[in-house]
Amino acid sequence: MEDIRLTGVRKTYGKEVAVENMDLLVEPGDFLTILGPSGCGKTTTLRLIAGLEEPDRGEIHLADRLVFSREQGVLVPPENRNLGLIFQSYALWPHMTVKRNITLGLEHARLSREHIERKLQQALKKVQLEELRDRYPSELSGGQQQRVAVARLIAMEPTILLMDEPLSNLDAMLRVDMRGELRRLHKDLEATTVYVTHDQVEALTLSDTVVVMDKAVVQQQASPYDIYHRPASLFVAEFVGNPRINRLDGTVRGGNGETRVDFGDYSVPVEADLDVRNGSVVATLRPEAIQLSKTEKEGWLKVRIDAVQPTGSETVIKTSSDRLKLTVLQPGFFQMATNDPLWLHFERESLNFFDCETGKNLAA
Amino acid sequence: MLRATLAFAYYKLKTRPEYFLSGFFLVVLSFLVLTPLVEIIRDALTYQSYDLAYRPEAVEGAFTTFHLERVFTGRLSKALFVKPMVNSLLVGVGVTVLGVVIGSILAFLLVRTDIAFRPFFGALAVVPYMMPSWVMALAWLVLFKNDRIGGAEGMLTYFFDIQPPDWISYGLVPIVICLALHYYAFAFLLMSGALMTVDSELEEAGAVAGMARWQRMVRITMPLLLPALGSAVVLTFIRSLGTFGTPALLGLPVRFFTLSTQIFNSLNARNSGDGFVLALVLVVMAAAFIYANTRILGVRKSFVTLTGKGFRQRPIALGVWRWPLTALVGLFIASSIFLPMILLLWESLVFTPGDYSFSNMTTYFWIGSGGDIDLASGEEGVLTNDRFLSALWNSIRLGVLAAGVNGLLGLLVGYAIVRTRGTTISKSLESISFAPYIFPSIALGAIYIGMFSTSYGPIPALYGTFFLLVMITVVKNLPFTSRTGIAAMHQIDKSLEEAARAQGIGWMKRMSKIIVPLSTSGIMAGMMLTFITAMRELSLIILLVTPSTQVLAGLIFGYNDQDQTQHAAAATLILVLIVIAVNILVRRSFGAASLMGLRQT
Repeated sequence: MEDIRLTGVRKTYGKEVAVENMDLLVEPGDFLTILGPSGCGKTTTLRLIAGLEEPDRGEIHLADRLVFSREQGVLVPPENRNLGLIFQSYALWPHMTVKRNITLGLEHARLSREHIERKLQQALKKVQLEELRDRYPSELSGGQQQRVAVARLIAMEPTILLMDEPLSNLDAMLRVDMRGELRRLHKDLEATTVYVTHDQVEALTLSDTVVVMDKAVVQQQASPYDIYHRPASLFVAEFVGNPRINRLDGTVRGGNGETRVDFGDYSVPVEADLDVRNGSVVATLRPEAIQLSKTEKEGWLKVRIDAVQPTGSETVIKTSSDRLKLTVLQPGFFQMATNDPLWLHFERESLNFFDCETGKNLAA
Repeated sequence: MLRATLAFAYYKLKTRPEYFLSGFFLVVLSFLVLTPLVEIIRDALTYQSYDLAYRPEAVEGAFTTFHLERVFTGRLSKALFVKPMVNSLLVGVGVTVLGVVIGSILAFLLVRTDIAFRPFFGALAVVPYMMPSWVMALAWLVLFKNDRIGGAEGMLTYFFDIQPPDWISYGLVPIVICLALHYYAFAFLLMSGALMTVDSELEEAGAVAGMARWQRMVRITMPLLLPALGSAVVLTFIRSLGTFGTPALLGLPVRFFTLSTQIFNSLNARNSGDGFVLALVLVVMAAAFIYANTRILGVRKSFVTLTGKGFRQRPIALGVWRWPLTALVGLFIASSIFLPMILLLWESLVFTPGDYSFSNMTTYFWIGSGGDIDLASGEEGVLTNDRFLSALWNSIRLGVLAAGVNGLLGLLVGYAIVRTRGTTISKSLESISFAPYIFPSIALGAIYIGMFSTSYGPIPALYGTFFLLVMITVVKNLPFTSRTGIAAMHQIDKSLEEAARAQGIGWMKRMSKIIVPLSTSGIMAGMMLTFITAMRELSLIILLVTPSTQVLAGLIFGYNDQDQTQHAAAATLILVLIVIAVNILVRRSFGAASLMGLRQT
């Protein structure tokens, strides 16, 4: 198993910076997802690792092998990086049968015909497409095409797997199935995997590690749990999670031997050493971390219901008080009338505090 | 550090062949396109050996404005430059106006109205463009030749005993008419393409907004057609400026010179300097015209109203005018395609020139054994004639070779341009592969004579070789083939090649197994287009052919010059048949759109 290491990598297109000063370590055998909005540099990062683009500066190592360095005059082309690459468009060669699509890359490796045939069989078996070996890509469904692309990879036995939004062309049902298959592929090949997506659900469900990127810069690299619960910045907090995280502007007030953050209608006790600038702070709160009561409770925040959106297994309730707007997520199917009162409560532990100017997590 | 930089550059070139290709083609094409231009500018501004007859004291190679003075200010200027220039402009403007009007009206009738036999007329309307441009001129002579110059007179004299006046037989009027009947095809193709993409809904939206019918035409349809109209005007004007055959056939007998025939004349009279200056005038005129057009129209690209989804087009009902207009279009098509063919066939069967009676018919000029020195200088009929057969062979060879080279070049240049897109080198390569477009054919021929008549650097003198003909044909067709190549490459998603790279497949194998198979149809269409152009081209190569490299078009021109009109007619018919046969083949295999390579200009 190989690790992938990027040090001080920068890539520009003309005046536009696509990747800025990136240090990235992908542990051997890790399934790492790069998550971010479109144009954040995630695909460029993948293409740099693949060797399809060259950085302006910095170094790239695959395992202990230096594959790119302008300073040292090293450039290993993608052909020699032993990669597996899966594209959004599958990139099957339309004028070749499934069989040819899979074996073309094997031919150059001076393998015997029997060996190639065996590898072909294995790969087709793995994706359950044995009967379709003589079909052309245009005669296959989207899911089958995707599986051919996977089979093509399996046959090459790459040590590094790179996937660029491989599921975004599939419909919702297939997407869930394919997610499982890609994860299994990663496990079978024992390949270090970099997966690029803008879909946070894919990122959270598939990965061992998530890297969130924005504006050419890595915002956070952490486990899915930490990305979700301990976002390093406001951007990460707001980008990850559906429905969108609640954002509250607060003021820190001392006195009576305890420090509290005051959100206007509601305040929470916090530790005294919270490092705030000018007494102002931004807090985030996951919608599912809010407790809810239909009857009045002492010390709870009274709000009225603005909208109720049941999705079946859970219900999104939009509420507001005089100063705050809060989205609440409750399991189950709720039906409530708008403008009815509701009482909410949340704990300090559910809150993350951010510097109101830099957007950095104060706990970090 | 330097070593690392060099090592990196080496690896990069090795792993990115597209950069290597771009650089390589940039150098080669600069040499083939730009150096000749520099060379003739130099030749035009220095004394040449042949000038010593006029200026015995001159030093060969020394700087001089001698040629410029001769052409622009000297005693001969009026004959050398002013008159041909005026004539060229008259021809250019006349052909452009007439051709674009005919083409646009035809396009409108066939695309937007309910005129009868639309598909049939549509297929036939482009046939004149497939034929060599001077076919019409030959046919014109069969009909209207008068006693002004030697040889027999035409049909009009034979059947009605009328001597057509000179201005009908020769000169400006017939040249404009004959060329317009050929070049209207540009306007027709471009305008019908544009008309097809104008959604009726856009006009209907105008109707809903309360516009009257003429307002919708003027305010909505016309502006959308403007870019196509602009391209048609530019294309027609430049082509008619550079054309040689028709002005030569119909102008030279009455000493009506255009710039193109004057260039031919000067080079033939060994006053090459004058010819080069005139060729430069043509290039500057063409470039200025393209520039002006680009400025006026803003962008060269046409407005895109093509959204990819289908839209309705309701044909305009012509009412009582339907059948009269159908008849008119039919008549036009008959007289621009079938009449010339019939006239040429008839001419080729006439024994004593000028006698068009049935009793005077013969197959002698097709299959006769020759030998009679009083009969067409003893020349055999075309099908038994070595001179003809060798010219035919040369033409086909030229067509096939040029097509092959162009196909490969189009593919590789297209690949290099598309894969390095966004870099300076890509832009330069695209511009330079488009540059031959601004050289009128005759001027390019003159430029190549100037450059390759003696050895140039490591390259031996190429004048008189078949290779030079292939080279110039390839260069002249480069703008079209490289465009086909670029279009073909755009069809192939980048990821198809990247997937192959990741699979460890090297460049040669990627090209042969993926890129080439996927771009075959586009490249083949470009090759066929080159073949057809090469077969019928006269203006480009008339200055470069020698007896041993003679091609069909040049031979026909020679026959006509010797007043062997039957041979000329028979040979022309064979040439036209081959060209049309190949055209039909291309349309069958690759669709009609493939022949409209010019739509992208």
